[in-house]
Amino acid sequence: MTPVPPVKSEAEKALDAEARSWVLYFTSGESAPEKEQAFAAWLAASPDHGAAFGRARLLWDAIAEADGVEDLLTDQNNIKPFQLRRSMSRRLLLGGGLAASLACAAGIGLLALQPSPPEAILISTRRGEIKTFTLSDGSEITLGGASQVRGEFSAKARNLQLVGGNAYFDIARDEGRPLTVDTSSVLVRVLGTRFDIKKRAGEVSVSVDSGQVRVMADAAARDLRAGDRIVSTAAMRLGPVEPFDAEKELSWRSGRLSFVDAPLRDIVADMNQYSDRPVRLAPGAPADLRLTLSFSIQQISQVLAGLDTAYPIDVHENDTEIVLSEGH
Amino acid sequence: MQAKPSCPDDTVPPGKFADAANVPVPDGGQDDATGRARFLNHLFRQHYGELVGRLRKIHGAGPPEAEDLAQAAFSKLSELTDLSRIRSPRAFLFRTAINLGLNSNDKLRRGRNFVKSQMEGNFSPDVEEISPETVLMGKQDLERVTRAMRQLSPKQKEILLRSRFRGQTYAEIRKDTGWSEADISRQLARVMALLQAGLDG
Repeated sequence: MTPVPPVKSEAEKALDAEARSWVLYFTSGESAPEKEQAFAAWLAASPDHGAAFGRARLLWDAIAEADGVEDLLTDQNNIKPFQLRRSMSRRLLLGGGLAASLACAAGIGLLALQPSPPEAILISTRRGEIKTFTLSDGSEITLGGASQVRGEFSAKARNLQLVGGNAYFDIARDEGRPLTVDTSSVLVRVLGTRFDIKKRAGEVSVSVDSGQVRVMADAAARDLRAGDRIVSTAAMRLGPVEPFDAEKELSWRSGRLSFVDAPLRDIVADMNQYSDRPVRLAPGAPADLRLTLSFSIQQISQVLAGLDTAYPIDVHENDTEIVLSEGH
Repeated sequence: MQAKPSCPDDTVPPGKFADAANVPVPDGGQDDATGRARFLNHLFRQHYGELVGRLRKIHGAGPPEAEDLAQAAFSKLSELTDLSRIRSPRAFLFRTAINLGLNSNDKLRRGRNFVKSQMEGNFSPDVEEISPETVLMGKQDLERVTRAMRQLSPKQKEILLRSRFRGQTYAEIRKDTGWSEADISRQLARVMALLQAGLDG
């Protein structure tokens, strides 16, 4: 049982606040001699001041010791999407199919918790939205824009399906209940670990951040470890296991997309998860053009403008969509 | 909520590092040189990969480069005379690597040196002073601070990441994000107040 700390007086709180502001001053990058003299004088004024400064300093230092702090600070939960325009919401609803159900689900995680019957899971995000959901077993799933995961947890098994888009899975270890993710072409199976799945038309890639992951397609299976990535296509059900750059592959969780020598068609597909209007490639557009770029999901318009200038691509936009066509 | 997989961590009593590999902790004796080398190799195999991953999340592609910081942190570890007194090698390595990343900023080093000259005791995060005996926060207090950190806004997390972990000055943060220095200062003051409130309960 942890002891409850005694309640602080107003004077103590004020002193703590003053000490904290001194700690922050010395990490701000400013350094004025008058301020330094003022600090020395403040320290000398009372031994309580030095003690308060020590405590504030300890707190500042201890921030680096927080469990999983690197994830806590870089996973941007609830990255706000652009403002949905009224006409656009209507178009999405009329669009039918997956787009409609994603718009209606509006990024809310639905967990129907029932003790005996299997627990149904349905989580999804709107385009432009990045959100992390926590499941009943403590697992956390971060969805990219316009993505959906559904599934069922029972006493014996944890089964999920990546219906569309992409997700980063941080799965709580449960030896009695392995977790599987079905992307319809590839099945991923783990006990408890962290991995990323991207589902695009024609291709599914699985990248492992930590632990061990089994990837299965038809009769073939591969075991992947941290740092490994595998891509599955119709032509090659399980490609070779290759290393991947975690920063580039997983930066989407902070709202940053990175591409290295990637075809324009993949870049456009990913943009479509975050742009305020659908982006499409017209026939004749250089879909296989390979590009290396990195940008924040808030910068998609600028990036497209840049592509128009630098490459044989013409970008035309209207109220309903953005079209990339062959440039001159 | 089920505990998530994490590396075995900091509750090892001193002098007793029991783990799956059953590598005994050298006690510093002269004839223990090979034992010490084996132990350091073991720590390297166990922690290097994850350390680089954690540092990449903080620094991205760099500079500074995650591998450089990780290797420098292991260097610092190997310079310690008594390895058995480290409560948690994993925490020591991460803390050291982060601080090494901060040192690359001249303006901040001046501030840290000035504080060091004014204070007695071991409060400075300066790398030269990091030792296993450096006063760390207790486990329960740390959990309170971590819980409070989860409540920070995305903007506060971004500013904290840049200031505390990347060692950026307010001016540098303003250049990257567009937020004014006054705003950055206010946000950081708010962050520290929130963390303190979490500690105080």
